[in-house]
Amino acid sequence: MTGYLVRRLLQAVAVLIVVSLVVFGLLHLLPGGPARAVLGNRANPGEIANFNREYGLTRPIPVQYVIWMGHLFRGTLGWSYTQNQSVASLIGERLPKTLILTISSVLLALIVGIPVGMVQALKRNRALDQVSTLASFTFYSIPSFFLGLILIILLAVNVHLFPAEGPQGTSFGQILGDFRALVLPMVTLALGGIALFSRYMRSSTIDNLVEDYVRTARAKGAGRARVLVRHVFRNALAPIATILGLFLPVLLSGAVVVETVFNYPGMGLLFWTAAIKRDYPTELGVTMLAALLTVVGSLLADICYAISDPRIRYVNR
Amino acid sequence: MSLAITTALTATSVANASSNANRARSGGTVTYALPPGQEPDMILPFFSFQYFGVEVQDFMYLMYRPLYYFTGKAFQLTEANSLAYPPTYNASDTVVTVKLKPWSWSDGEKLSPADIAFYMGILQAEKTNYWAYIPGDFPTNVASATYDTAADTVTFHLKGPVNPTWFTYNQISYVQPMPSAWDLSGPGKKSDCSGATSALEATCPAVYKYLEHEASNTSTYASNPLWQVVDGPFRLSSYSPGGLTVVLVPNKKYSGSHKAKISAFDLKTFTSEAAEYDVLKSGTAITVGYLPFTDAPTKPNSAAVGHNPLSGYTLEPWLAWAIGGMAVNWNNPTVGLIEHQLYFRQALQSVVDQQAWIRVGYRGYAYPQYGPVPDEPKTPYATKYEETNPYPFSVGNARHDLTSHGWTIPATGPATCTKPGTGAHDCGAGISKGEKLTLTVNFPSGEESALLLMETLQSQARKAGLYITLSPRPEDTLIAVSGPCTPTQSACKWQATWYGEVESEAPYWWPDNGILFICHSAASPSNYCNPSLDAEYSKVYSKKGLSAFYDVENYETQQAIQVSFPTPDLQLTEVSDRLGGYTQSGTEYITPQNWYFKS
Repeated sequence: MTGYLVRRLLQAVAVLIVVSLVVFGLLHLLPGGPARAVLGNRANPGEIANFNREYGLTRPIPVQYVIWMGHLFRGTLGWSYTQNQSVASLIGERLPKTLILTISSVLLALIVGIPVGMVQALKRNRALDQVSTLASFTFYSIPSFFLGLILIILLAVNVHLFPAEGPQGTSFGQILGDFRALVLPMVTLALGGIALFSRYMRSSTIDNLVEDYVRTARAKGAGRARVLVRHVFRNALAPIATILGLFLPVLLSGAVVVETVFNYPGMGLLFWTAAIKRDYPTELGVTMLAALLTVVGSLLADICYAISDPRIRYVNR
Repeated sequence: MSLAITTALTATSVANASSNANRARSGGTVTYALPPGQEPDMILPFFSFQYFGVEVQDFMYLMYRPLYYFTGKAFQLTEANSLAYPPTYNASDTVVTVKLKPWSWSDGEKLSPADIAFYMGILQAEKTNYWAYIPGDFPTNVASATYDTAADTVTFHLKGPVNPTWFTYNQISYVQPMPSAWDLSGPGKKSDCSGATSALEATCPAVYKYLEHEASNTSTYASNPLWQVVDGPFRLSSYSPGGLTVVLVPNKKYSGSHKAKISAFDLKTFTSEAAEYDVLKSGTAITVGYLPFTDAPTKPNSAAVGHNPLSGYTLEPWLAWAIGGMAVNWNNPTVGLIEHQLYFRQALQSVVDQQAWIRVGYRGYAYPQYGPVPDEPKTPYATKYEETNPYPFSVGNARHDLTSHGWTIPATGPATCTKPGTGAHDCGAGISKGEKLTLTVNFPSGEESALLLMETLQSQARKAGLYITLSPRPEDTLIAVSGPCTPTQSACKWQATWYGEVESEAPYWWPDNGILFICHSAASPSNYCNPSLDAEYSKVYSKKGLSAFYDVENYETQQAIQVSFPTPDLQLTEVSDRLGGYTQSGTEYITPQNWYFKS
């Protein structure tokens, strides 16, 4: 396992380097430089030259890349072109918001989606299963911005049960301290996840229910509950672990819509704003973080897979 | 009789109750919604374009006052809010004297000419880091300046005569006195950039570097003693990095006549217009917000304000001091020569259905624009010629303009040049036989209303034989690819660009718009260059009165150098009915020191 982990970590580093090269190169292929995009159409040539000099944009691209790698290793990730802060500081400000939103919504999605999927499998093709399937498809197909707006109109504007915007604090404590404000964005983001997890859990459970080991367990006198919890549940979780690992970066990008609707400026919105303003250092910083999350998520998924299914062993130990 | 007395008493008591309800009370927090994505993330009132935004300017002017302040619908110099008396000019308009008013900084220091010297020193040394600087303008046009501390005056000796109105409104309007407490080259290291008798440029770069460094540490904005030295009506009380939370409180030592009655002013940031509107609808969390154009019921033509969908708020459209328009690239190697033809520009202007734009795109909250000077609000600047709309919407006129200049318009497809040549009724120089009349227009992507407006233009233009290809582009690309260029450069491929937003006159309140039309001006992406017009502009800037100004304006209107589009309102402001004293000015600056909660 250790050897496998070391190899995967080395692969991860290689992936991150390739991602950084590709993104860095692509950004510099965009038509027109960032100076006019950042300074606006009133900037004069002196100001544009000053900007390019200040941010090292007059140097050869490989040199710029090396300088940026230096910022990466120093942990500052460079200086935002537009927001008067280092990229690390911007990420530090927005990451708690996104982490709380994504982790809480994933937890909610798992807590609801897994049991719903199992119940659907046990009651398959009955009314409850049909209704749950319909609900899953509905929630999965509704765009999150629309879902968010509906929840705001129903529960914030009409009933005043929850605030129309997410928590406005910036630290973990401040955000969690305003949990009521977190409910609507969390539910909006979780509903799609509930639909996804319940569908996977349903099919995975159905597959496992007809496996030989289930029949054997029953033949050995194991009760229905024991069979379900000790055997079926554990085995059915394997695909969920895989999806969960790959779901992390999706959540990061998917949160942009929820962040916009609920006035909750997190990582997704940071990236979006940086992209439309050509704030290269911020774009690169967030992209690298997303790439890191993808790699780590995928690694965690594999580890969880091994834990949930002891039959799985990694070759070339 | 008794009925009459009862009615009279009731009327009196209602009037009293109403008057009591409208009485100003002290205290309370005004929450002011900022436009989406705008966070005040710079505190040093000397910054480059990368931090420029109305929200940054508002944020700073509440704490650090400019020398002269302009408000009102006609953009007058407002002496009450200014730090100096109106400037005086000598007979030849070559010497300008500014006398400071008795005014103090919050640290007790008196506002003095040295504070202007400090600013001048920084400006001379760091011009390219200052957003308001235009090459050749202030301070380049100043030969020398003298600072008389005893008389509290600053005298600018200019390199030549100036038009006093232009110099006051567009040059010294953005002078920003800086306190001596900021004259440091490091923590506690006193410097001498604010020399009492002259601007000491040699010492200023180090001071600027230090101030810029301090201003880059946004986490200390509310705690850094530097930024607590203010001369405006407010000081910063709370600030979270990135400007996500910004709370100002009254400056108790404010020297101005209107001291703030409210106890705090909260500049609230939003991620989107929809998010702001949801918060606005859900309760009373916002005192001054805005109604997104897309949510506004269409305003009837006859009404000043349309139906307000929100209760508890008053809808106040905010008229912009700006012009709407589309830049055509005169240097484009493909269509540039066509764009050089006056008949073509007239035809292009004639297919802009401004009333349809106002109705469809802006829900009635815009006004038509017929030339280079804002036609609303009514000021002495827009000429009768411009206001009468020389090129009204008419597809017939557009067709006539083209067919009478050598173009043939087929039943389908774009017009074709059939009479090349340079005669009065030919296509014009450099346009060859068989050339087709097409134009690619860049515009901002991702906005449904922008697409709708562009499709309206495309549809009308097609009827006149002008085939427009729409090219939606992200905001960053739009600006990056539509810049000044020469015909041989690859960057000159763009043909026409509509930025989707209006060109604000700020901070050049006298709307001569030279920055759009003077040769090689940075703000003129159209690459228009006409030395004769430049010569006229030099008269605008150097001779008293409006005569040269009007000549230039009429010429630009007649030549349709920039295609005029309607100017939408800045925003549809929603003001809580609990708030009194609220006014808004086309200068876009806000005056919360005049606002109060009704008791």
